[in-house]
Amino acid sequence: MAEPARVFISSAADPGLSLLREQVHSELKMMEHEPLMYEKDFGPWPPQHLVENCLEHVEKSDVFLLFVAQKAGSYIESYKATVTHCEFQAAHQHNKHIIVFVQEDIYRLFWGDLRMMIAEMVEEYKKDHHGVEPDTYKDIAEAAWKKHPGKTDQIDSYVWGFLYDVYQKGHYLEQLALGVDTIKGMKRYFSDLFRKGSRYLALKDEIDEQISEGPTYRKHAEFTSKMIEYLNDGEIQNPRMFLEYLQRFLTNGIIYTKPGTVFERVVGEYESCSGSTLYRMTAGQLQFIAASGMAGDDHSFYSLNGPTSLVVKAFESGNPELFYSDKKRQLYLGIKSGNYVICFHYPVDRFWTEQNVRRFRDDILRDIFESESALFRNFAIKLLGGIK
Amino acid sequence: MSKQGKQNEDENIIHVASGKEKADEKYIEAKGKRFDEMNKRLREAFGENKNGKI
Repeated sequence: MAEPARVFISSAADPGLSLLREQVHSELKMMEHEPLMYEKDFGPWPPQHLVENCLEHVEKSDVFLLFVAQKAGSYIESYKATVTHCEFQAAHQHNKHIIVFVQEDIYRLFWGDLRMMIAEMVEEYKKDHHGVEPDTYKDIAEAAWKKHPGKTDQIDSYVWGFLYDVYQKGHYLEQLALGVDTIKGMKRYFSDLFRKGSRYLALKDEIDEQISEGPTYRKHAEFTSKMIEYLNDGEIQNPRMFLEYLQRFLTNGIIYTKPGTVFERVVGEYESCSGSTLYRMTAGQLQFIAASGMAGDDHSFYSLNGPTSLVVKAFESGNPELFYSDKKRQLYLGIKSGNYVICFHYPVDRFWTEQNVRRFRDDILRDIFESESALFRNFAIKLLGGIK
Repeated sequence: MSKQGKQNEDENIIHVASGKEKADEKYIEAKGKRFDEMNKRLREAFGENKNGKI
């Protein structure tokens, strides 16, 4: 079902804006949006939570429409800001789409003079306070307005500090000429918003996927840097720590069968890697180098001529080899790289028996390889292949 | 040095399957390719203006 856009209408109680607020409210309703306006759609109840109530409605909104004219509105000492400023701050913090209209006289004064004056005064303040920004622009705006030759009591000095904050936070200020096609201009803004939004929506899946991939690549950059730190003069300095660090990145996963078809289903899971072992070929034997996690270190070496073990089989094969122990309910992935064989242990859930492991072996291999862990495992294996 | 003789544990381990050579790499390559393709599409849609303006 179509959900209307909630548009929060924010402004100080400025008589010059009251008619416009009413018009915007009814136009938004006619456009089938859901306007949220103080004293119309929600009220000062309970009065002791007036600000909190406004901020909750800002949080619920989709678009934040701000009008700034001569009056700043009620200043709340505990917030060190006016209610309108608090509403704007909430919209900014909650990443709402913010549209700011500033009455044209105010806009001209701010853009032409006050903006620079306040910027200079803020810099002076920072110099005197070890680079710390002021908590509020109230006093600076008041001082700037006092110095300005056009100062009039009709305009609250707080307005300049508020606009400076809006400008500093990177929001575009649109001039508003009251009474001259104001509503038409507003509708044009909404049409522009619709145009922009539709371009993002058309690529929503791609955007979501890139967002989810980002942390993986950042993690991988950290991982590769750390893994290289374990090498010195072509050797692993601390093989146990090398394995322990790698193990942290080999996470659990789900095994699917018939993926991408209508018969796709989950058949079981494997847990995060519980341990790993590393062997190196030395004088015809695979010598134990290190183990991590729950992996045992019972075998100090394997002879290539001796009874077949998974370590020997993986070494001789050269391909990744998958093994299973029903007794330990564990999968083993043995991989040769250069003179090394590395073996990863993955505990599995109760579904897995020898029969089921054999039945779904291709699915197990595919889902272990086609997971985020592949990025980390592959790097470690390549690294092993290039060292002594 | 402990003996190699503890074969009884390995005897409980069965060989299940052989993977393909460079199986990890193929997956990583495909993943990288997809990432680049999507990035290209996003850049074409949104990245043409340096100011980030759509």
